[in-house]
Amino acid sequence: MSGTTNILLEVQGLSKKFCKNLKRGLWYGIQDSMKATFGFGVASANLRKYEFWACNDISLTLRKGEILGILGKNGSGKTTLMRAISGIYPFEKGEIRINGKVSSLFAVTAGMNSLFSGRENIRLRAAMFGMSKAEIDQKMDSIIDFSELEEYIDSPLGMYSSGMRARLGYSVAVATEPDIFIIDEGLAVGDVAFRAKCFEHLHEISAQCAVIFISHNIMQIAKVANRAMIMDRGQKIFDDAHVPTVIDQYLKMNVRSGKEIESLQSTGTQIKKLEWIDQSGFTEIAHLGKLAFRAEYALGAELEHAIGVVQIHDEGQRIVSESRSSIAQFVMPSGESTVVVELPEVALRPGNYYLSFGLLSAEENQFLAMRNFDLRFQVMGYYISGATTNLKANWK
Amino acid sequence: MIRSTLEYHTLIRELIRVELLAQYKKSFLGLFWVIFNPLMTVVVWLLLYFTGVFNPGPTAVPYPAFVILSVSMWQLFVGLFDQISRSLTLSGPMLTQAAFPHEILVVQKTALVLFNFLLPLLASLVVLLVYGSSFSISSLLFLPALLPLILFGIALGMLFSIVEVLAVDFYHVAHRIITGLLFYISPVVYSPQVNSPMLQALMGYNPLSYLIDTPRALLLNQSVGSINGFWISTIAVILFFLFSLRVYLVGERKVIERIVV
Repeated sequence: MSGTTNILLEVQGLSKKFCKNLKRGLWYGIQDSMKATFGFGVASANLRKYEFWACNDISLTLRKGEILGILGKNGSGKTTLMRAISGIYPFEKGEIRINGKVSSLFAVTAGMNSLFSGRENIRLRAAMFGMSKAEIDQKMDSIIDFSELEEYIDSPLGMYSSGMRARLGYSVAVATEPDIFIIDEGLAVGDVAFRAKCFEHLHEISAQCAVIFISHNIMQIAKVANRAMIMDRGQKIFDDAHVPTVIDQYLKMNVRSGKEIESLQSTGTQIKKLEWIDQSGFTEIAHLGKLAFRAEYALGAELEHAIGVVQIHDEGQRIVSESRSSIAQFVMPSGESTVVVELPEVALRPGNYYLSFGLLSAEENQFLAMRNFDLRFQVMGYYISGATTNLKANWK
Repeated sequence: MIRSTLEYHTLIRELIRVELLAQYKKSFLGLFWVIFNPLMTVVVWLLLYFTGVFNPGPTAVPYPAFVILSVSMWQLFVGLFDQISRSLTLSGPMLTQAAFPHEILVVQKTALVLFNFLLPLLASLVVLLVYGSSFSISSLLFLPALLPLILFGIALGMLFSIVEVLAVDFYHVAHRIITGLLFYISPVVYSPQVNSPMLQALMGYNPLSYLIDTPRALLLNQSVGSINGFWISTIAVILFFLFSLRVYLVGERKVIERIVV
């Protein structure tokens, strides 16, 4: 979809600065407010001490029908950009042209009051979006209906779970019928069924509007967006209609250095070295691709053998997979030795992972040595699944 | 500001409703709290008066009626300053999440304080009647003559709502001066003819003296102490209001990002 008639949002060279130092920032605020009050220009183009560009020279065009997913680490400027587009933050440089109405969902409970019922909070929240009393009255039933909270709508909001609040917040926001709908992690706390409903709904309404969807969850972006953008350190660094390409790029950017936690030392056992067979450091594989690594170790003199353990961790350091040599009926030879471990089909969803290797006592009840997060790798590709691992299955 | 008020009148009404009801939702005493604070102040001054500790000077009506009315007016002024000056910070989470004109907070807080003023005012009128006060046609000028005092409270509130975000130390000092020091150099708990030349001189320089004494004198059917002082103060308040409005409208968008939430 192209052409100027469908353009709903045009951002040209937008820059917005913040101050890292709180007290200095307040002092700048006093200076700027006084200058502006008395009609003196505020030098906004330059950075003062401790200031930085939270958004730097960002240009963006959004058309009807587009669902733009924005990826970026914390502090990359995503929310600042959205708040500038929403009219919450003033900005130092650039221009924002909006053709229509913007509704934003930054925090699902913003402006809501726990003492009041869901119904009363719908009124408050809708009024915050600029809806009149007549509009609110007219849409009240459909908002309650969409939120699926009929049973609890007259109970105090304080009794609602975060997921129920998310339902309410989303339902009110969509009832405003925005031309540009911004969701900044607004669905992070909703339950799975309601999230699925919202994603479906976003696709339905996107024919009549444009959606900007911010999430750290690449699977959500992959499901919802038909265009994706990456922000890093206040800059737009990638923007493409082919979402899988953007996600791959984002994954590459977010590879952290693996960190080695001090190995357990017991009875003189140690793991001296871990390395990929074909590459050192970082490796990339496709979904269901093969991993192979080499481990050099030394078992304590009194130990005859040990059991090898491979653990895979996701970015949150959760163990997502484990393999023990005992399952393959393989025991680690005593003394100083080297073992090669192959993982032939890594059925993990795309993302960054870390590999840990350890040695267990023969009884498998005590870790003799461990090297945590020592190797890192990335599973590439565009594989949509909510699950971390995907079992191999024979279909007949 | 007028355009925003009209455009967002539903939000203003909802915010007023929510705040009013929230005040009393968990309270068993409800609206009693509206008059509790002025009542406590009145009790203290009545105690000082009846024990002979202090002499308020000649008052137009019996002292209890005088002090109830005066304290209600003072609470109106201080309430406007206090509520409006803290409105940006207290609404911080909402302001950094939703886009709406923030000047409606000033309108909302003003309406709220005026609503809360109604009950103490009513109580004051009842006490005045109990003490045998009579009202005349000039009493009808009480509310119009009260407008400069209201405007002064709003203006101070708007100005210090920006100060409260950017210079909290200065705000605390100013808050103490306005709610504390000014109280004692204004004819609230004593008459403008209090038996202290120094206090009288200080009150002469204080615009609040005229903004409080004039409407009170009109309500109580008394002669106005200094009509010139009232008009000069009113003009000064209007100019100050316009200045504060500019500071607020220019400054509030600059301070939003500095509200740490």
